[in-house]
Amino acid sequence: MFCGALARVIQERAMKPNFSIVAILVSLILASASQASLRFDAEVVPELKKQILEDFQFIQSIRGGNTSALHQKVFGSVDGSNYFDWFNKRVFSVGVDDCGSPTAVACVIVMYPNKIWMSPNYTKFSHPQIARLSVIYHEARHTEEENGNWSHANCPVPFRDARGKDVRSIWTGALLEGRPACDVTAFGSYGSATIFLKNISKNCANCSDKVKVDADLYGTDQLNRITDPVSRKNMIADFASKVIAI
Amino acid sequence: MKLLKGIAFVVLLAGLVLLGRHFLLNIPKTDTPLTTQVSPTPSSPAPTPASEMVEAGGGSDAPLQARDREQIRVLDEILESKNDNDPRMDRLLRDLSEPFKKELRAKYARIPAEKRNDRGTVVFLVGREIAEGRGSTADLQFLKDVLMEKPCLSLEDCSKSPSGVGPDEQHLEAIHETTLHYPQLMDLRYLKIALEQGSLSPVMREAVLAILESARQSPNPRVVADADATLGTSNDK
Repeated sequence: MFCGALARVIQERAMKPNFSIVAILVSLILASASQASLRFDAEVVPELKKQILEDFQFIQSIRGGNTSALHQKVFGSVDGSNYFDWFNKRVFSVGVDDCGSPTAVACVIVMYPNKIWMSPNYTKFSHPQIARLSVIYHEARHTEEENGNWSHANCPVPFRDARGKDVRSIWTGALLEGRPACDVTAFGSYGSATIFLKNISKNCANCSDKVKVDADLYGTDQLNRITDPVSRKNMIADFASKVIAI
Repeated sequence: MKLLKGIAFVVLLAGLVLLGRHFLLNIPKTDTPLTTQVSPTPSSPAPTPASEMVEAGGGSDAPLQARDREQIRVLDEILESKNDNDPRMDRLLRDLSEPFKKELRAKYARIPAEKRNDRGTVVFLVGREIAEGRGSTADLQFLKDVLMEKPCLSLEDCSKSPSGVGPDEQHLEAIHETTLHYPQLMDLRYLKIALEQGSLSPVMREAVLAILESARQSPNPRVVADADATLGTSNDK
C-alpha cells in the first residue's frame, strides 16, 4: 500500500521540472524492487527490459475499490500488490524468443517452467499499455503446470461471432473452428485476462480514463474466446456485480 | 566513527551511481518540437485529412495559445513514454481549445498508421470532448474520417498482410485484432458513449447518428459490424 501511494506521488512530482532528488532515489529503489524479483536473461535488450519494468510499475500502482467475485478468486482484490505477487509466484525469469511467429508478442515454453519469453514485438508493436500487460498475465497463467498450463480448448465447430459470422484468423483468413484458440472455463488464460481487464476497467480507482476504456475494449474482445455459454454468462454477470473487496 | 564514515561514503556513492543511471535511462524530451515527434511520411494508408466543416469555431484559424502549446508538449511526452496512465491525461488534456484540436487532427495525420496506440490516443482525446459535450462538427468530421480509413492489415506494416504466421499464434490474435482496429474502436466507443450520456445537442446527436450510418459503408468490416451494433442499440432505446 505504502509503495503504491508513494509511486503515485512520485509520478505526479516527476512531471515537474524541479522534482526532488529524494523522489528520484525512492523511485529507483521501487524500480529496483520490481527488478530484483524478476530475473532477465542477458539477451533481453535494455529497451525491452525497461518497458517491462515500467509496465510493472504501473500495475503495482493500481488501487481499487470494488472487486468482482471471479477476480477475488483469481487475483484477490483489485490492487497492484496483488497483481504483482500473483505474477511473481508464477514467473521467475524472462527470456527472449520469437515464439515461432513474426507476430508473436510473448509465449511460454513448457519445458522451461516459471519463465515467459518475450519477443521484440513487445516494444515494436504499438499496443496500449494495458493490452501489453494483459498479454503478460495471459502467458503467466500458462506457466501453471499444476493446472496443465491451462491449455486452450478447441474452438467449436462452427465457431461464429455474436452476429452469426464465422470467426476467422485475422492473419491467414482461415476459420478458427476446431483450432486451439478458445477456452471453455473462465479461469484459463483468456478468462483470467478478461477478468483482470474488466475489473480494471470498472474498479480501478487511479487509472486514467484511457486505461479504463482500453481495458474494457480488450476485455470485451477477449471474452469472445470463452465459448462455453454457461461460463460466459457467469462472467458477464460477475462483471456487472459489485462485490466489496475483503 | 571510521566505520560510520565508511558506510556514509558507500551510501553516497551508491546514490550517485543510481542517480546517474536514472538520468541516462530517462533523458527528458520536453523541448522537442512537435513536428519532429512524428514521421512526416506515414508508411501506409494515410487517412483522409480531416475536413474543415465548421460549427462554433471548429476550424478556427486562431493561433495556439500558451496553454495549447503546453498541452502539445504534455501529449508528446505521454506518447513518448508509452505510459497510458499518466495522470496528466485526465488533468491537463481535456476542455481542449479549437486551435489545439485542429493541431490534434493534423497530428493524427502525421502519425504513422502503425502507431496504433498513438493514433488511438488522439481519437480518445477528441472523442472524450464530444462525449462531454464540448465537441464541434469539425471533431465529428475527424471521427468520421477515421472510421472510413482502410483497415490496418499488420502491426508491422498496415499496408501488408503478415507472412509466415505460425498456427500457434492464433491464440493471441484477439489482442492483435483489437489493436489493428484500435483507433476505430476507440472512435466508435466514444460515439456510443456520447449517445448514451445524452450530453449532445439535438443537432450533434443527429450528426453522430449520421456518422454511424455512413460507417456502415466503411472499408473496414469490423467498423461496419460495430457501427451496426451501436445503431441497433441506439434504435432500441
